[in-house]
Amino acid sequence: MTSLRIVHLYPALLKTYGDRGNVQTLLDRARWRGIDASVTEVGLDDDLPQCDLLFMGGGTDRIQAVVAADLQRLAGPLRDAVEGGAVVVGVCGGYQLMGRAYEAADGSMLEGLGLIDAETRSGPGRLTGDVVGRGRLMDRDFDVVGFENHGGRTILGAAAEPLIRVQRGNGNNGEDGGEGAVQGRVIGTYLHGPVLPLNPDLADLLLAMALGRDGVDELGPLDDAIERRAHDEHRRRRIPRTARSDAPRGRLRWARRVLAAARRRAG
Amino acid sequence: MKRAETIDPRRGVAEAAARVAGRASRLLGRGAGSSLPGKVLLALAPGYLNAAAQRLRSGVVLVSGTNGKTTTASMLRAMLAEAGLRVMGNPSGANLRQGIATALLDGPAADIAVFEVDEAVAADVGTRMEARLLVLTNVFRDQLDRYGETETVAALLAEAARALGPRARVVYNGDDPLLTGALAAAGVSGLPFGLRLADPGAAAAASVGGEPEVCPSCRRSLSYRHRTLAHLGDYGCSCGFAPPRDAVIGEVTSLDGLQGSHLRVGDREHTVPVGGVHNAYNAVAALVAARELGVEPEVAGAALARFRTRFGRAETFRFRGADMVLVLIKNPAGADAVLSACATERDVGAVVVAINDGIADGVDVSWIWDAAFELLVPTGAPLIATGRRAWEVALRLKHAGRAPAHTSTDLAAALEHAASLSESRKVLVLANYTAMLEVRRLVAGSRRAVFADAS
Ligand SMILES: [Zn+2]
Repeated sequence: MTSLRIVHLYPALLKTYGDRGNVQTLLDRARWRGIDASVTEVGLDDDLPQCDLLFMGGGTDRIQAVVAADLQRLAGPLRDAVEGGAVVVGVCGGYQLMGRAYEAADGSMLEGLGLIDAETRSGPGRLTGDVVGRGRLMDRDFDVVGFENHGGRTILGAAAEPLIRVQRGNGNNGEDGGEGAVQGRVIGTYLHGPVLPLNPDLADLLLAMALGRDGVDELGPLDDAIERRAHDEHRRRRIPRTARSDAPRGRLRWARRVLAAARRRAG
Repeated sequence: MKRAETIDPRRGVAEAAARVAGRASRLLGRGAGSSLPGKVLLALAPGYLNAAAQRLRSGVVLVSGTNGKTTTASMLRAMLAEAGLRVMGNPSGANLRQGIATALLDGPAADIAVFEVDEAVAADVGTRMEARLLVLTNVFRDQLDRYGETETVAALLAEAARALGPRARVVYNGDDPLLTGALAAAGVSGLPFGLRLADPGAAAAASVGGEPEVCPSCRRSLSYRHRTLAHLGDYGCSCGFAPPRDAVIGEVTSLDGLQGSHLRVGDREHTVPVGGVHNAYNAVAALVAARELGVEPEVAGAALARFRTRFGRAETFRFRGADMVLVLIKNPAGADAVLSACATERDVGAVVVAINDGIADGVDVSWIWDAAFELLVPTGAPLIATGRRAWEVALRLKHAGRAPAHTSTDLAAALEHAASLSESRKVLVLANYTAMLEVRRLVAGSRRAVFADAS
C-alpha cells in the first residue's frame, strides 16, 4: 500500500490536549517517506469514510458525553473498519470510549465502543505527571515518554494487554503497572505530550500496522535527530512536584511565627 | 498610617503585623513580599477585605477571566485616572485574596479600586468587597493541570456574577459562547461586548486553536458566521443560542502587527497601542466598563491611546545590535493571536520561541501543538527554539513546516544567535512565563522590577 487514509474523529470537539500533534505526526512521517497520506475529519452526524487509521483524542467530561452519544451511531462501521484491517488509536478520553464502559466524574455511566476489553471507573483525584515506560509491538521493543492527566481508572480484561509497562508514573489505574491497551489493531493510551511526536518508534509501528507492512523496518529510516532529542529531554526532566505546595506552606508556617510574635507584643 | 484612624485597634495590630511581615519577607529575600503580608492580615482580621473596601468612596471593580485580566484592569485604571479619580489596584498581578489584601495595605489612598482576580476566588472576593462592577474577559483553556475544565471555569465566573446580586453590574464578553452560556444558566444578565474584524482573513488565521465549539445549551455543534479568535466570535446554534443582541460591538478597522490596532466603537475611533485581536478585546472591555462607571468616551479613549505596554506585551529591548520584541505566550488562544500578529510584522530578522516547563508555566506544555506556529513559516525569518523544552519546540516547528535554524536549551546562547542572524532587523521573542522572566533579565541586563502576569 502506498497511500494512507487517516480519519480524525471529532477533532473540533476532542482537541484539548495537543492531539492535533498526533495526527500531524502520522501524516508527516508517512509523507516524508513518499507515501500519499491524507486526513479526513469526522464530526457529529458525519458518516465514517473508508480509512486505514482512525484517531480519536480526549476532551472534558461534558464534551465526552456528547461524543459518546454520537459515537454509538458509528459503533458498527468502526467494528467493520477494524475487521477490514484499519488501525484505531485512542488517546485519553478516546481510549476510555474504546472500552466497554466509562464512568464520568459525576458518576454517570457512558457506554463505550467495546473495541477494547476494558472498563473505566472514576477514582479519587486525578493521576497527573510524567510517564516513562517500555512496550512491545510487532516484535519490536519501544520506549515511551508522555504526560498523563486523567481521573478515570482503567482495568483491562483478559482480551487486552497493556501498551507499555510504566517505569515512572501511574498508568491505567496506578496499581498494576500497565499503561494503555492493545487489542489486535486497536490501541489506547492515556499519554499526552502529545505522545506520537515525542515517540517516533511508536508512531512508526502504528504506521506499519496501518499500511499492512510486516515490520517497521519496511518503512525505511528518517532523520529523527530532533525527535530523539525531544524524547530524551522529556525523559530526563523532573517535575518539581512539591515546589508548588511546599513553598507557600513553608512561608505560611513562617508567617504564623511572625503573627504570634506580633500578637504577643500587642498584648 | 493614613487609614488607621477609622478602624478598630485589632485591625491596627493586624495591619502593623502584616507590614512587619512584608518588610521581613523582602529583607529575607522570600519573594517580592506581595502575598505574605496579605496572608498575615487575613489571618488576623478576616473581615479586612470588606472593611478596606468600605473606605473606597467609589467602590471596587473586579476583572476576571482566563486571558487579559492584567491588561484590561490596567487599561481601566488608566481611564479612571484620566477622569480624575484616585485609582488603586494590584498591577503586580497578585490576584488571590492575600495579594489583593496586600495591595489594599500598601496602596495609596484612593476613590476606587480595580483589581484583577483569579477565577477561583472571584465569587468570594467579589462578595466580601461588595464589588459594584465585574468585568469578565473570556474563558480559554489555560494551564491544563490547574482547574482542569473550561466549563468549570465558566461556571465559577457565572457564580461570581450571580453572587454579587442585582446591585452590581456585569460587563462580559458576549462573543464567548462558554461565558455567555454559563451566565444565562446562572440567570445573570449584564452588559455584553463583542468584536468584529474588518479583515476576515485575520479571523481565519487566528482560529486554529481554541475550545470545542459545542452549544452550551443543547450540545450540538456551534456554527460561526464570523470568528475573531479561537472560539470567540459571532456564533449560532439551531436551538436558538446566539450572542446577546444588545452587545457593544467594537470593529477592528486595522491590525498593525504587534504594535497595535484601530478600533471603532459606535461613532468613535480608538487607537489601541498594544497589538493583536486579544488586546482589541481587552480595550473594548475596558471602554464598556469605563462608560458604565461614568467616564466620558473621549476621556477613556485618550487614556487608551497613551496606554503603555507591560511585561511580555511587545516590550522592546536593544540587545547585541538588534531590537528584541518580547511577547508572552502561554496558551493556544493567546498564542494564536500573537502568532497571527507576528505574521503581519515587517522587517523580522529572526523569531525566537522560548518554552519552559516550570510550575508557573504549567508542567504540561502539550498546548504548543494546538497553537498555530505554522503562521511563522511565511515570515521567512529563521526560527530559533529555546527554553527548557527547546527540543520539543524544535519538533513542533519542524512539523509546522520549518525546522529551526538553531536549537539550544541555553537561552543566552539562543538570544545571541538570534541577534547574529537578524542583520539589524528586529527579533521577535515569544516566550512563556518563566522563560520571559529569564529573557527579560538577559536583554534588560538588570534585575529591575517585573510585572507578573497572572492573567
Ligand atoms: Zn444549541
